Amino acid sequence: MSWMDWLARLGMDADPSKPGFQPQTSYLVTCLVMPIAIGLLVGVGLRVIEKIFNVELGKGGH
Amino acid sequence: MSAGEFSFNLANMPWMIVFGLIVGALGGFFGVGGGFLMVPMLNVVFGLPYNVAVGSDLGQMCGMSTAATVRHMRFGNIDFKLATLMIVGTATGVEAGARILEVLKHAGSIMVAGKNIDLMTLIMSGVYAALLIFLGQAMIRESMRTLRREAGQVEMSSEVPASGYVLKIRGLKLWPMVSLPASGIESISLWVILGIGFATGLLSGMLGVGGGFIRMPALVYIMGCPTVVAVGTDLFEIMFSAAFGVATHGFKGNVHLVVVLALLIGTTVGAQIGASYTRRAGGPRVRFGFGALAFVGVLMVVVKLALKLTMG
Repeated sequence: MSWMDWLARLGMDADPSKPGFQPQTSYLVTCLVMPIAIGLLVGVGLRVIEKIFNVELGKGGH
Repeated sequence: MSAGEFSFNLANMPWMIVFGLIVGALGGFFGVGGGFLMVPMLNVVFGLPYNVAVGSDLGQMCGMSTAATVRHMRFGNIDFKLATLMIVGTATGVEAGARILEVLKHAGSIMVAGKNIDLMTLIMSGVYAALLIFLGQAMIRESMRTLRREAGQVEMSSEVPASGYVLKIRGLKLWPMVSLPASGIESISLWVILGIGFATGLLSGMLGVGGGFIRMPALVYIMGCPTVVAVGTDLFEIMFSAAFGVATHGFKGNVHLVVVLALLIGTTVGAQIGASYTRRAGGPRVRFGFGALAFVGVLMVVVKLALKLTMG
């Protein structure tokens, strides 16, 4: 899976023990954007499912 | 060790998703994030160093709380003013917690029982064990009290929040004072809100937990917020503190993106499964099971530490 390798490579670059280390902007952005995007997708997706099928799903805990 | 130095075997990805599914289902069932369980288990089961486990868990927590916040917004359960004010205290606490973890990461190792063990593992294991014991015994005691109350053995008043105490906190005239109409609070010191935010942020940044198990009761019992508003506001707050935590741990290279992705796939699905089953079980029994689960977590942390000390 090439996108999985890409994710793994971003992590490899984020190595603070390397001399002159600075985290890549793409690594930092992915750290933030990926979880929020998946969360929004799930949250909004569940609302859409509830509206279409007229059911109330679990509130999703924390 | 940073996320870059930790080589994650992609063959373990399905196991990590299953693990996320189980923790997510337990979290959804018990109504908590499960961070306090996730981090020690990532260390014990998958061998992630604590700093990488904390950073990656904050990543999955950010996604989970975003999904849950979207759902709570639908029910109008979020006090946005309270959450915004609390974020200032939380952000400061998260940064302080991440810095403590950073100091521990470079603290080296010490000799215990003739074996060399790194200080971070030793201290974090101890803190987690203490936290899980505190949480477990509190939930077991509370659930047993509620079960006895349901059986008519204890007076109903034992579960009602101490209104006198709440009034005392609200009466603290420590400038500046703020009003929170959405929570039904006319006036409260800003320092109370910032203090609660800082304490939970510190736990979040250092231990990778959402801090909901402290913040939610604090909002109800210290500030006197309605429970549903406390739950919704807490989730909104977790979303921001986790995002801030991910950013600050990202700068330190502690977030393993593949681990975050695997956990998120599992936990988002698992949380929905768990939450739908909560309705079928009684609340006190659910909390009793949660308390027992915390002690299983303590056992696993202690066994791993003991194995490290005996086998090296």
